[in-house]
Amino acid sequence: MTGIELRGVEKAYGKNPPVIENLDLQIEEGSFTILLGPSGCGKSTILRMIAGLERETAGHIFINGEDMRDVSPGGRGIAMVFQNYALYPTMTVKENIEFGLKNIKTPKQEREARVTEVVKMVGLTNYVNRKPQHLSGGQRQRVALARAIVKKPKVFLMDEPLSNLDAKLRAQIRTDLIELHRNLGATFVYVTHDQVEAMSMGTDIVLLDNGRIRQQGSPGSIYSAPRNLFTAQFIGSPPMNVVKAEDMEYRVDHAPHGTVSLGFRPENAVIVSERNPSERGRALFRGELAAREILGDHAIYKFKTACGSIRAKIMSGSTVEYGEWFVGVDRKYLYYFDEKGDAII
Amino acid sequence: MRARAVIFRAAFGRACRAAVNLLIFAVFFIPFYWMFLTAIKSLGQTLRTPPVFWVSAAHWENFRKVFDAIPFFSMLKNNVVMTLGIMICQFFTVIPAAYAFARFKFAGGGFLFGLTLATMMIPAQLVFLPLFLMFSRMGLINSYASLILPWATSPFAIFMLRQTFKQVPRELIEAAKLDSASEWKIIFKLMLPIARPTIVTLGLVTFILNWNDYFWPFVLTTNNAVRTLPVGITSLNTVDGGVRYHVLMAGNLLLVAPVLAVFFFARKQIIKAFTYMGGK
Repeated sequence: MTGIELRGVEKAYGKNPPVIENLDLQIEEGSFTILLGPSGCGKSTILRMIAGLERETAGHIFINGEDMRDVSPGGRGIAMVFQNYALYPTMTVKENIEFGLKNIKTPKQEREARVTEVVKMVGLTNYVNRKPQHLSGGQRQRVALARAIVKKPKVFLMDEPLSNLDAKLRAQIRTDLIELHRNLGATFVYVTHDQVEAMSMGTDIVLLDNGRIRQQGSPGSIYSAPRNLFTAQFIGSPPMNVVKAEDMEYRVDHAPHGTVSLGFRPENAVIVSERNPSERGRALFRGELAAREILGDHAIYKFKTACGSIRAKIMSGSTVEYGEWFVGVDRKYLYYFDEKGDAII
Repeated sequence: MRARAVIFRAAFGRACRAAVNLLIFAVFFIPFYWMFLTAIKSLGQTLRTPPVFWVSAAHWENFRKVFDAIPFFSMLKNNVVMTLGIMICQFFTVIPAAYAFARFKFAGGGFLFGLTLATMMIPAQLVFLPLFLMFSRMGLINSYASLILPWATSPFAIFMLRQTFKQVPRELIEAAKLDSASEWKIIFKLMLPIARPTIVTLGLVTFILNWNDYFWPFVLTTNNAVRTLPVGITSLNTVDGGVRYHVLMAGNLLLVAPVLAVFFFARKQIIKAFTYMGGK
């Protein structure tokens, strides 16, 4: 068995109730797996347990089929990139990168060759003798990456590595990471609370909430087939509109039995000026346009309706004026949820 | 008109700042100047009222009188041995203690750290008699050991260094662990280089405090064999019954010269150390 496997893992701090309880998780070898969730959901804790920086209070963690219980962080064949980069401040870029190799007594010749190669790969050849405090945020990020790559690990662990960068740089490093993952063929485990990062980079997303896995799957399946309200509302920008069925002005007569709430994605909504009673199978909401954001290729409109705010994302076209409108959604785009918030399929 | 007012105001501001700077400079410089001046005056000039702020002929023989009155070079050697001895001892006691208090959780750690800090609150005057008795029973009076051992460690330095170690982000140590670094590697390659400015600063403070220390060397010695310079210089005060300010100041000048030299050469490091600690 390859990849990473967590079996019945529990983590508790002191005598407090456990933050993670009986967690089973399978991370495929060679995947770019994203641990996604709001802050405090336990995603960083899971990553740190895989790294061996935190000890699981129960259960087992396997990397490539090997139980990691008594293996030190350095011996797990992993490399980690931290949110604040954690570069050694008194060492130069080169010393930072080769520190790990020196510690495992890699011969000098091989070490030099590997450092040179990695430095070239991340484009820091002219900065090898600088100290981290004389580098920009993006450059520090690349040193942190280089320090991980040079060890040729089977597994890369990344803890929100982009959150300290500005938006433009973040977008650029996102594509860099996708390329890096394809080139190295290693397993990436990446922690983030940003669903854009998760959707754009991941091959597999693990959505977490309160220490529990709410859904695991490819970005496509998580987006198009959310299994519960949490997933539905966490993924997508803007998030899925969810309304209580009983508050709706115009009932949807084809909703399955047990439906408590309905959801639809803003991008599947259309805006019409009149209610057409002959149209069947379309959910309809009457609302007052409250705000509009024109974003070039698309616009986001926020309506106040009898069942709360509803957002519609309309690709290009003419701008909708402020006033009263109808928002319609085709029945094929509707999601139904029961009283526990689970999707009815 | 307004442009002129602005220029005037700017010039006035500069002048005010210059005046304040000059005042601060005077406050720090004049005592040193007075010490130097007194050291090259004749006895008559030192006692003149109003005081003279300039002498045309320097009386360098004041320095010779210092060498005549006390075994200057042997005392200087004692001073060096004591100060270096204390610094070396503290290096080996303070760093491990501070590191342990900062990084490891162990039974009684909090209590021991509290106890360490509590020793700072005991006034020296309270312990010098018991300490003297202790050293005398051990037969250590008039030895270098009696000068060095009471200061072989420093709670203040332990406290300061512990704070520095504690400020190192946890991720740095974790990154080093993931880089397969042993605890020793983490200490010597990571933590000590990061704490270097603090260690240098503490070293300088220790040097200056102990170089000038008068009370303990005086208490713990009874003859000139191991007495240090501050004790010797003070004895110049009372050689012939009268106060020989000029010789006293010549001695003082010789005493503080090494401190000034250290400050002059390590000035950059001292300033860096304090800005580093303040900028955290």
